[in-house]
Amino acid sequence: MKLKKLYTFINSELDLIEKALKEAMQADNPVLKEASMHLLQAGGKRIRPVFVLLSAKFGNYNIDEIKDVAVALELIHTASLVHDDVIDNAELRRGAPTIKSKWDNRIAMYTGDYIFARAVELMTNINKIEAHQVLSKTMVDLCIGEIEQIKDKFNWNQNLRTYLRRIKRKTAILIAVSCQLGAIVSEAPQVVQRQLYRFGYYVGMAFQITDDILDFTGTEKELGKPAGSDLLQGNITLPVLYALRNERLRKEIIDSFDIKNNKENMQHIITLVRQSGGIEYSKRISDRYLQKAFNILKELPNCQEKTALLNIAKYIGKRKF
Amino acid sequence: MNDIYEEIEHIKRDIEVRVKHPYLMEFIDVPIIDEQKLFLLYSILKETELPAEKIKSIMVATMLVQIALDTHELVGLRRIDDHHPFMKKRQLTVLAGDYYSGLYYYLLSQVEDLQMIRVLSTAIKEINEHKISIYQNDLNDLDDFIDRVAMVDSLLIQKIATYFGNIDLKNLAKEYLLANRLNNEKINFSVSGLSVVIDKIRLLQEKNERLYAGVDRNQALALIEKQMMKSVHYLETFLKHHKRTYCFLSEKIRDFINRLDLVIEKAVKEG
Repeated sequence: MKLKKLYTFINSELDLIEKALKEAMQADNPVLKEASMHLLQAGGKRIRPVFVLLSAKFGNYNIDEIKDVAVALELIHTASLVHDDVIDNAELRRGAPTIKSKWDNRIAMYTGDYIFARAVELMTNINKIEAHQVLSKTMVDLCIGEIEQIKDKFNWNQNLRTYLRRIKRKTAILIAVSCQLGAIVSEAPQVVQRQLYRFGYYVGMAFQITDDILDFTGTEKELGKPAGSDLLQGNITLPVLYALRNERLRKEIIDSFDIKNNKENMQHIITLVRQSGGIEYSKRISDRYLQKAFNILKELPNCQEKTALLNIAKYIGKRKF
Repeated sequence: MNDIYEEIEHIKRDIEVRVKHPYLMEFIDVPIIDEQKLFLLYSILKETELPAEKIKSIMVATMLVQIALDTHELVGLRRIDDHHPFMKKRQLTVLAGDYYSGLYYYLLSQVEDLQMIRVLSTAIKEINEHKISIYQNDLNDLDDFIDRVAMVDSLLIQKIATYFGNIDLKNLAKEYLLANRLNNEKINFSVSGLSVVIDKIRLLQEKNERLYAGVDRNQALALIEKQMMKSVHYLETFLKHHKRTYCFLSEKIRDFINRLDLVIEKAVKEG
């Protein structure tokens, strides 16, 4: 089943978000406009706006207000991808050339900065300072997560805790905050705000672990980038961490990596990681996070939004790309 | 007057502490804090009824934005592979800019200054529009180019001055920072033969030959000096009209004018 089928009852609101996203990117400069729209038009799951909208339904839902939060979060995610592609030296994103590849690093930097600013500017329509305190802290944490990722690159001795802390900052927090902000802005009860944050956090952790698994199990066509890209960048993800526990595999992976990072070598490392049981182990960890997310949902009032959140969480656990 | 310097020095130290992320500092340079912008901001905010803490938070936040924008200017353009020794520095330069930008938003949200978040985010958005127009040579003529250069350097401060209704200092900030920028370009050119602005003027010539036919690098330099004279004239007029106000800022501007080496102006005076 397609992800979008899980929440058809908010389709009209999502159309509004899509329209608002396009409006938000209407820069005066034609290149800036084209670059801003470039990634937006390449698609994306819009999972953060979906979480904002669904969570807002647990309070006093006002689409005119909540729309700005949903758009701002998608813009922050988009801007971070634009800058990430400079960091990762990436040529492809969602199967299309990256902004830094289609233009250059300078255009990517300006475009990312423009989109970040546009997101914050839109957020200022929200007159609830708590929402800004939560979001601004998240933006700082996102950067710290990415800085830590660079610090931990090729660190073959990092442990599980380091990995989990990193993916929390890198991915899970923004999803958690998408849920939390939906609840804050719609003035849902505080206990619900906290529950939705926890739900988003657990789903976000599962989402990133699944992403890290797919880097070893997906095809280039499915992923929109070559398999093993994370490891090639030096990012030690959960499947690799597990494989490294085995002394023989550890030596072989590190040695293979040292020799040459060509395609055949990478394929060999992917095979080693697959054979190690790292994929299955990572799936178990991801499932544990998902189970925690399901448990949180049990505490929330029954409604179609809750069912949608449940189904999205299940989908994330099973997704293939 | 000494108190003012102490206050500004105190704010500068606060900014330095905030931007010094230990891991970033291992790989990237310590950001430069533009003192002229600090002086301008201080002068604008001292004219308001705002409490000292509020003035400080606006100054720190604005300078964090400036540092973030300046940091991203340092991201290299050259295509290098993933294992190139400069790659890590490049990656951390991208993240440092984002980090500093996040810090301004965080600081202003902590002091609950939603209006200033709006002022600064709008300014960042517009600055990037101007930057990309300059970078892509999407420029009508020399005046358009010079105006955009001025906007990139001063829009943050102009927006704050506008927000507090101080149009005098808004216009002053634009001319003062433009004169300063052009002077720096001139110095760079005379020292190293390199100047982004001079190169852009020559590119404009290529784009629209009818307008700037025959402009070589020296003539481009003369155009810069002509623009500088316009800005300096504006500054001098400002000083004449504000003999009893903005004393501290006026002193700074007078110093700046005195230090300028306006070759053409001298030549004109000498006949």
